[in-house]
Amino acid sequence: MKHTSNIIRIPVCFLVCFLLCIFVTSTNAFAGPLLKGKSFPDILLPSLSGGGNVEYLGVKTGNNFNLTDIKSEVIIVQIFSMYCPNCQKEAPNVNRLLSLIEENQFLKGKIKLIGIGAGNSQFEVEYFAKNYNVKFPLFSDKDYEIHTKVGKVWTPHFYVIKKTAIGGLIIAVSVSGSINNPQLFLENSVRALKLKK
Amino acid sequence: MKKKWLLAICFICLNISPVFGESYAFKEYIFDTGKLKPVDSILKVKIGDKAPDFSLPSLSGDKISLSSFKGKKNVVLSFVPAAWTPVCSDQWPGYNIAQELFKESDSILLGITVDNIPTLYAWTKQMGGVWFPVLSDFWPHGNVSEKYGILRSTGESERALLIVDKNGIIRYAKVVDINKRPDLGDLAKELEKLN
Repeated sequence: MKHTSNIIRIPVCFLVCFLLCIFVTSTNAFAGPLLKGKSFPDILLPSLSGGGNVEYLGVKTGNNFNLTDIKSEVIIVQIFSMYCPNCQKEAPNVNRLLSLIEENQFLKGKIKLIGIGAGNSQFEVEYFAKNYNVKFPLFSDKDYEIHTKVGKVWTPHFYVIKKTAIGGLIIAVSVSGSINNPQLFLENSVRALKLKK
Repeated sequence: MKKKWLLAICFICLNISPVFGESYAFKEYIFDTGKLKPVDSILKVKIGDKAPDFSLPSLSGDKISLSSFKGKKNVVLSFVPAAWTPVCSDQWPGYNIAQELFKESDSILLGITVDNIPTLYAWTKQMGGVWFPVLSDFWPHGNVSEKYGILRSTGESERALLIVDKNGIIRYAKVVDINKRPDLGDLAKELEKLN
């Protein structure tokens, strides 16, 4: 009798676990950071009104655009919040990361940097940018729509994403918390990206 | 068998990520309250009223009273429900970089919760400290929150922002959905009106 019930129980356990896994991945209810080597969603970003940010990203003024519309081989996406102490502490490091990319003739133009303000209004994102003299584009994600799509990560979180030949996006680096040393972070990212000279 | 199932469910739950984009600084320290009733009290004060005075112990050890700012500073009261909970832990650190906003309108910010002083000490330390006074409405429990009509039936306060001008008159009183953080832009607009 016991043997028979085990024969039934084991497949039932597997079936329940399988269904639970499908539920978890499909609803994103218990999501974590998206992992290295996996694809990154081609998120839709709000339009930019003009100025340096439009030029930097190489996108059209006044239109919403996707990550894949950004003119670069690689996009570093920082998920941050004006309200997060670590993001505040990290701001000078991220500014330094931008400078390191822009000062490097090989990397300039190849890697672009953007920030997504999880739960932040336009005012809050602009306040953060002004406060820390942020020179790369920051986007408001007030209702956590993008944040949900990218794994409901703790802030700050950094994704280094490479465009594929067929127009997709692949995660080369996925890091939670502080990058601490921007030089080292950039070197490790370049290694992981295997960029061709 | 039941135990095995419980263990499996616990394992899955341990992998839960933050819903509200919380800071890494609070990772593993936050108690997930789940979605709460947005508002659970009835505001007893309104714009134009004289703000009920209070005197509460602060983190610095001094008692701070609202009336001590009369004729000197506008006062922003930020009530947050409780330490170590999801949205609250991400609200005050934002005000840390907005000191200029308060200064421009000749305002002081007072942060108030119903937690006791030792809890507030540990919590604000985890934020890396805050520039504004933090007051404890712990005992008699939630007395000030009750006076303002923002004490919830569960003993926490609402998430509320009030502006009291230099004459002690309430110029802004907003109770927001406890599950959401109030937009700094809205507060900035209200502070501008004081000038």
